[in-house]
Amino acid sequence: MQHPTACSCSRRHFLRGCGLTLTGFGVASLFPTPLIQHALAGTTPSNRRLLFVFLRGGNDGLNAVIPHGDPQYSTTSRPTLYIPPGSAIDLNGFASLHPALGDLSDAFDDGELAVLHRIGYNNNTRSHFDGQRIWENGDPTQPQLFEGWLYRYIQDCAVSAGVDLPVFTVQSTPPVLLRGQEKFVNVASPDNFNYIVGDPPRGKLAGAWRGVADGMSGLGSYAPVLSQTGVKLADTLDEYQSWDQANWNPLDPISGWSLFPVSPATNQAGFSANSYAFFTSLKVAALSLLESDGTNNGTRIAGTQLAGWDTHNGQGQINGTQAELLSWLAYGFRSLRVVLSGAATDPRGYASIWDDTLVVTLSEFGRTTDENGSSGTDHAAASCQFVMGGTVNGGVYNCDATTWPAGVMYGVNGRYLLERTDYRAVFWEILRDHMGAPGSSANAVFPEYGSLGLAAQELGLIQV
Amino acid sequence: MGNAPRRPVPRSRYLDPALLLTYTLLAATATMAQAPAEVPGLVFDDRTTMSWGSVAGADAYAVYRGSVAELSADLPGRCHGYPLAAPGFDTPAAPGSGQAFFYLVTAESDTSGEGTPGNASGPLERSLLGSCKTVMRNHVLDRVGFGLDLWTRMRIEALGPAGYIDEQLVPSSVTEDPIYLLRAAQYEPPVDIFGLIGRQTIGAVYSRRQLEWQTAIFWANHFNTFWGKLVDIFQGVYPQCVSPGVPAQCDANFPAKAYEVASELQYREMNRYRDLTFGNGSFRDLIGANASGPAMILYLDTYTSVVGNPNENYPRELLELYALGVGAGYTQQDVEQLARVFTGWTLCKKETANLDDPLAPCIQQYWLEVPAGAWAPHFIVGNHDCTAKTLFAGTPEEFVVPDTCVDPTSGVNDVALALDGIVAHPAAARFISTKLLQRFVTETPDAALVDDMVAVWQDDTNPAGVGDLHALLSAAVTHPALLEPDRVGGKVKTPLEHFTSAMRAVGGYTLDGVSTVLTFMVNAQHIPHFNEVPTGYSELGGDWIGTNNYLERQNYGLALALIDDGFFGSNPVDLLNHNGVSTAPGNAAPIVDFFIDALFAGALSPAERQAAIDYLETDDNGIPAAYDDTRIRQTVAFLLGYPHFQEQ
Repeated sequence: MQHPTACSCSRRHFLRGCGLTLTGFGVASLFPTPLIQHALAGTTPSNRRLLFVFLRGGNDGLNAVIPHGDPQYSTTSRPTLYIPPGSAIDLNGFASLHPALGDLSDAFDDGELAVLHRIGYNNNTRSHFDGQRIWENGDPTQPQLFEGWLYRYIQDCAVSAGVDLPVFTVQSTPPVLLRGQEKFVNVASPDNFNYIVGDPPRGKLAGAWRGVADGMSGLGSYAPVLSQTGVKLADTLDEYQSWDQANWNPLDPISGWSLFPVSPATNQAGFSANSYAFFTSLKVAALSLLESDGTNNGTRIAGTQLAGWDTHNGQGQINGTQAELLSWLAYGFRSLRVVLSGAATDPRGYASIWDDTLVVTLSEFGRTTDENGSSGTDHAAASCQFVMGGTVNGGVYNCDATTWPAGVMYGVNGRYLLERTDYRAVFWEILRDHMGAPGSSANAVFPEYGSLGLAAQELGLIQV
Repeated sequence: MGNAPRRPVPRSRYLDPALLLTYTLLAATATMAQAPAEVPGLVFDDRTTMSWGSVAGADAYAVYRGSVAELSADLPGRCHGYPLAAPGFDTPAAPGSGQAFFYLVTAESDTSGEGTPGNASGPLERSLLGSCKTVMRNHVLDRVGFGLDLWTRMRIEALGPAGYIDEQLVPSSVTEDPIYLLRAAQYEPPVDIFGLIGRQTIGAVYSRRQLEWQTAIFWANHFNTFWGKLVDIFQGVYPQCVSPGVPAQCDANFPAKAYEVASELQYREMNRYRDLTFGNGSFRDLIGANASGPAMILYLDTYTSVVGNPNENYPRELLELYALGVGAGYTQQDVEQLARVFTGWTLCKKETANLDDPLAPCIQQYWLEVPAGAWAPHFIVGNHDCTAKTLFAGTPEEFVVPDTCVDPTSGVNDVALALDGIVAHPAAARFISTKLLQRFVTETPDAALVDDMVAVWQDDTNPAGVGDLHALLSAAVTHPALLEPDRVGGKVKTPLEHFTSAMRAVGGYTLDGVSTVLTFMVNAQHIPHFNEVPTGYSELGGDWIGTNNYLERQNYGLALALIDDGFFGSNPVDLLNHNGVSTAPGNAAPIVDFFIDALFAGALSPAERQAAIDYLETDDNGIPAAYDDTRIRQTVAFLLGYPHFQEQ
């Protein structure tokens, strides 16, 4: 068992750089400049971006991407939760989308949305804590490891080298996905990421604090990193202020609705006020990517989360708890597509970064095939996943007659949906083919990726 | 030379009995008697030994060191050797390649204070990054407590650092602060997470038994449990009273009962670990208390562990996190064997007389007030795997928990036997010693330091025998290494330590330990009793430093200095006035120096000090303008946001 608090640094080679070996390159310094890195890594450009949304609680994949082609999805397994085909959005004659996901149709019809099913990992313990951690740390054998696979990717491929704000997440606590020795910026409260005094005293304070941090005295062993952090914070706050997220309100070009409902004035879409926090974090995550200038000097990885998916009681069917969350998710994804492709009605006029951007969901597990006695579902195994972006090979994966044979809905312990594709195969493909990581980094990012034969499960999600 | 003009740097204090009842800090005043003269004849006898001429009236000498590079940047030397009884010093550390150190020595008198370090070329006295005495004072108070306040400052002045530490090691000899008793009473016992957190904050800010609180927090964190999970479980045990079929055990005030029981379990365990440390307990006692602790039995799923389906969660963490540590050499097989040891253990409510008897019957109708009882460990013989278990097979530490199938009830002793064997493993002594050293002395203890602690662990003549907790704690906090000046600033305060030490240093207040301050704890992700992770909160600075935490600490300083709402805040202006420092315009330097002494033991460079004076003397646009009370508060907030205040 590894715990990053007891640094077992020998197992990690943070400064290795993409696929370099000492003998192959012959330098003692293991930190290549970005230029050399690009030359060795191939021709994939380095301005690729990733935006993740963790659906915390365990999304019921069976009612989100409905396997109507499987007769075991029925009113027998789901007396109150069953959604008939006529109420759902058919995707490929086997799988349908929950009606609340209608906003995903544009992307799907344009071939830019991959709808995945039966994604998970073997021997899921069905614990929130373990499950979330495993999805984020990339190693099911180490549920107590608090180091992210995305963090290891950043280190292994020197993504953060020389970049002020390579990562920007909006969560209550820094996501394990991005935890490691180096600290990245996480904003818990995007409306409050600032000193608690406003201008005019703020300007004087910020400048003076930056100066003190920069020239910090003392021989204490933490003085250098405290100094760096103080300066980094001041600069990040300034950068963040310059984004002026509170006053950014991109609109849909056709309906004129605000793409991110964060207040009554921006809620033409009519969502509950409970959605405002999610849309704020999504908006800020998107903004961080748009504000990066695309030459490896800005934010390349952003992410946030949406909680509430643990629907043990009263999950709802066409309407209800899960449906509401799905509607936020779909609207949010649609809005991301509009704004990241430069199509929004927006005085700021950001150029499109859509061909370089990928949006992906995560969730720690799916939910029981049979509903329980409280019109809800309990923790299970595999679930669905959404991958959207300009580089995606759109379509439905693992939910058709060949990839969804009879019995899989009870394939684990006679109760849970059996996974077909390991989540690591999905993410490694994304890192390699979308983000441009070299194949040799697979084992560094996902331990034992090679020896477990996970490459055989890759789905071909990304255009190469 | 003793009459040469001095830069006004506070040097020593005097006691004013009239101020004892007001919770304010002492003023900086000049001493009346003549401090010792400048130290003459400082030479290097050889590469590693310095000597100098003795000075009349000197009770001790202090050595300061800095790098020549820093000297050119006007950064003063800092305390490096102290207190030295004789005029000599071995300085083994060599500078890095291409670097050089400079040294200054002063003479110190117990009665008249510290002498001058001499002048630089020119009339001005050389500056020091704080005087050794005050720097070491703050260092000790930061390490064995939550930083300086009025009482601790007076106490350590009276007893000296070693005497102060010795007194703190016997909490019963420290008369508690009446304010602490008053504020703490509201959470005896705590009935929810706010109570659990509030009592820690109040303890840290107000209690005079600072080391006792630090120790209680240390063990509670070592054996971390998560309130949220306990509440989840007890919400099932005391469900809502909803029709139809309202269950008898339902809670009419749902979920208050679940909150109350969860809080009680964590509270009880935290107090138990503290009481064992200060009441003749050994580590074996401690680990036994943990294994049978109801909060832990629930948190790591021991209560689900039955023969044929043993649960590995607690057994794994017992080896990895609580007793032996990663890399001690145990294997997955050991985890599996240990898991079988714990089968059959669960929890139920028992009558008060039966709390320590795992075989005693459970109260069936646990929701009733009568008979009086509490949730306690329970052993179900039929759920226990009675076959033999072997731990550390094939190693010198191998031991067997024997088969009990002939007399299954005796399987209740399996845990005790297993714990005996685990605690006897040599890794236990090193692991726990290392953790204690990391908490109090250094984050990177070398083998020699750990060896010193292990020797104490193994000394069976200690009152509690092998692994005597008090002897270990004492060994850590009285080790000479703690008082090495180079250890100063080698750690980082946890958010709780940062927030409470800030409040103590500026004479701030909190009525309930949660109002306003809890918001910052949550934002800084340090919520006592509410950590999902078995590893608990890190003791290592690298795990805390980050932009989010840094911002929260700075924002907290702003809140503390600017708010004064009766529940939370401070009044720096009153504090200054009570200590004889005028807050009328034109007194910027003494105002700033007062807080630099309290917050940083005077250890700021001239530029850092000047930045605060400039801050006080300019308006929001940087134009010189007379300050008012608000600007004084803002300056205090500014100082609280210096990165130095995060050092420990």
